[in-house]
Amino acid sequence: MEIREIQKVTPDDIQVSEGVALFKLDQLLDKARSNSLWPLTFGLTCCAIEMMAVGSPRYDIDRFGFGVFRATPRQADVMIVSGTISRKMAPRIKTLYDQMPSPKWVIAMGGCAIAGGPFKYPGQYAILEGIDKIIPVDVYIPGCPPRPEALVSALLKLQEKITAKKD
Amino acid sequence: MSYITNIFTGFWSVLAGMVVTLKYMFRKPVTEVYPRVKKPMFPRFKGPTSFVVDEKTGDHRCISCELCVKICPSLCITLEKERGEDKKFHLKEYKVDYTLCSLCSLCIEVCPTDALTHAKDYEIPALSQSEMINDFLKPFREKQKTSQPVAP
Amino acid sequence: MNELFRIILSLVIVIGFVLINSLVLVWLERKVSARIQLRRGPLYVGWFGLLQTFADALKMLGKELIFPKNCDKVLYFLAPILSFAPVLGAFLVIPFGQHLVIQDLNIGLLLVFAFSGLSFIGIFMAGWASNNKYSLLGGMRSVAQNISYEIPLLLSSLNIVMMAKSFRLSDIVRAQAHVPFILLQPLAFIIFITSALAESNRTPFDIPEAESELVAGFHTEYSGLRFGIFFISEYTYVFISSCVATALFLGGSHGPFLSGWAWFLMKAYFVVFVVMWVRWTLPRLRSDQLITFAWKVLIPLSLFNIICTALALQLLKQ
Ligand code: SF4
Ligand code: SF4
Ligand code: SF4
Repeated sequence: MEIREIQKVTPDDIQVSEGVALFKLDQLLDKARSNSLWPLTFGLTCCAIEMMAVGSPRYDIDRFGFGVFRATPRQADVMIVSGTISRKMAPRIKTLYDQMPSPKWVIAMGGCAIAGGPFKYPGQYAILEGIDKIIPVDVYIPGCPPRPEALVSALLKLQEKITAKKD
Repeated sequence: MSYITNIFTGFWSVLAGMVVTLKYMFRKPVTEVYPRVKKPMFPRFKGPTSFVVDEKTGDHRCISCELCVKICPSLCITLEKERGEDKKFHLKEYKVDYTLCSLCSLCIEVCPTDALTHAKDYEIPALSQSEMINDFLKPFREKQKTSQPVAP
Repeated sequence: MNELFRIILSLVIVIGFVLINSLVLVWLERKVSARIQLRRGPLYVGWFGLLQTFADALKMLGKELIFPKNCDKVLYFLAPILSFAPVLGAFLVIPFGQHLVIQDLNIGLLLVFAFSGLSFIGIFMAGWASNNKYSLLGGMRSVAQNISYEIPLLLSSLNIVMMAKSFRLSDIVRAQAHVPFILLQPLAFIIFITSALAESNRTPFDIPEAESELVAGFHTEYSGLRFGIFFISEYTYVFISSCVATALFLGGSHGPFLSGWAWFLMKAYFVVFVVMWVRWTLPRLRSDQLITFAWKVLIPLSLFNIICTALALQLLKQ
């Protein structure tokens, strides 16, 4: 799959008209948002290990400005749901999502967070089959677990989604 | 007495720790600049499953035996077949719901004709669930379209 | 009238400087931490990621501001401002150059400590008003820590006052024209830096916002711009501590070749770098260890240091 060039704030975002530089404020805000997606520090199960790897020196998402893992939902922008969502955990995740100030985004990482993954079978009673049953999801990353690169490319895709023209 | 030695050892250990971090500060970073440099995947990397393209015929090798459908623990393979005029099964549709697949390789091991393999893609984020249902026959259909002469 | 105009102008300059300075410091901190951990740090937003913190600040401006349920709205609103405003006051007396000082008061040093002592009231207010147990714990820890570490901070700078015979910061800098006081008072310098670290809630003394125990401590419930103000005030506080340490111990604006303010800023930023270096080296202390360290180690040591200094000064006089 094609990964587009990395986002940069370029002079194209500044419109010059009649000698006055007018920032397209909306676009500038979107650029700023897309370049500082602070994730919420929480991992659910095995996929969380790959999420930690993404913050570690080898993959280092601080390069894009995503490395500031905030412990409190009030300061986080993006929630990476990484792992199996048990029925007990689901209400807590919903609460955490509600506590985040908007604009906020959600990434569902791994088969479990998308649709229940290997734990989904007729008659199961313990897990929630997909986080998108309770909160809206922006980007899905299939895999069990996905590679750290997949999470990085998902974050870049989210960046693309935020800065996309809305009209 | 131990009070004073404690202070000194504490101070000394802080200094030693700071020297270590200072040394690390001048080492080369180990970061892989991922989206700019894409490293090739390892031979045993398990990506999404896909059909092997047969070198001789240029087609897939699936004989519609449904062994993979039966063994898959995540129930994520859907297979449709029809009996052709030559009394053999022909594959009509083979889809894997990649939202459920746990990459356990059981389908690959069980396949009698070695028709399946792990692909090496790893950049596979999707914006919706429907994007993640892989139609395995799609590349083969496209190939047929391009290779067959267009009817006048 | 002229004087008033000068003060207003300098206030505007100081606020602008504080904002840009803290943005640069956050960037520097992320780079330093990245290098220590063999990472690369912010790289793609702007030149070497220099615009990264600018993007962060802009994003915070666009975030939703939340009032938590049952919070004390007035206090909740005032707390970030109260923790930020005193830091600005401390800039009043910092001698950036020979004549580059807004008001050269004769009690300059006391003024800095008075203002810095105020900032934890804002922190405690934040903890109290948020109606959150973690915030409250963080606020209380912050008060305990600040009260304990204020004492060694003052006692260690008392040595300098005794040697320079003045509370005026420019006099203290002038007294170091030949020998910076760090060579004469190394122990006092270490105690000063340690307590200044604790005063500005930096790791290893960041128990008010300990992430592993208290979520985010006193600013758990703060989002967007209000959190940004807390962030800025923390970094400005670090910068002020480094400035005071520079003026007290490192010879302020004295130095060969370059002009005074350049030397001052270089020294101050070096101290800031040391503070960051310590932060990314040492783990967090436990809360009882922290208080024990202040009362059982730092305060006796600084008292001992004061007695030694006094004796030495008396002997030299005779
Ligand atoms: S998708 Fe796989 S690796 Fe991820 S949480 Fe579920 S079982 Fe674990
Ligand atoms: S790898 Fe496992 S889970 Fe995935 S399709 Fe094959 S058998 Fe099913
Ligand atoms: S086991 Fe192999 S040959 Fe049999 S249906 Fe599956 S892919 Fe086709």
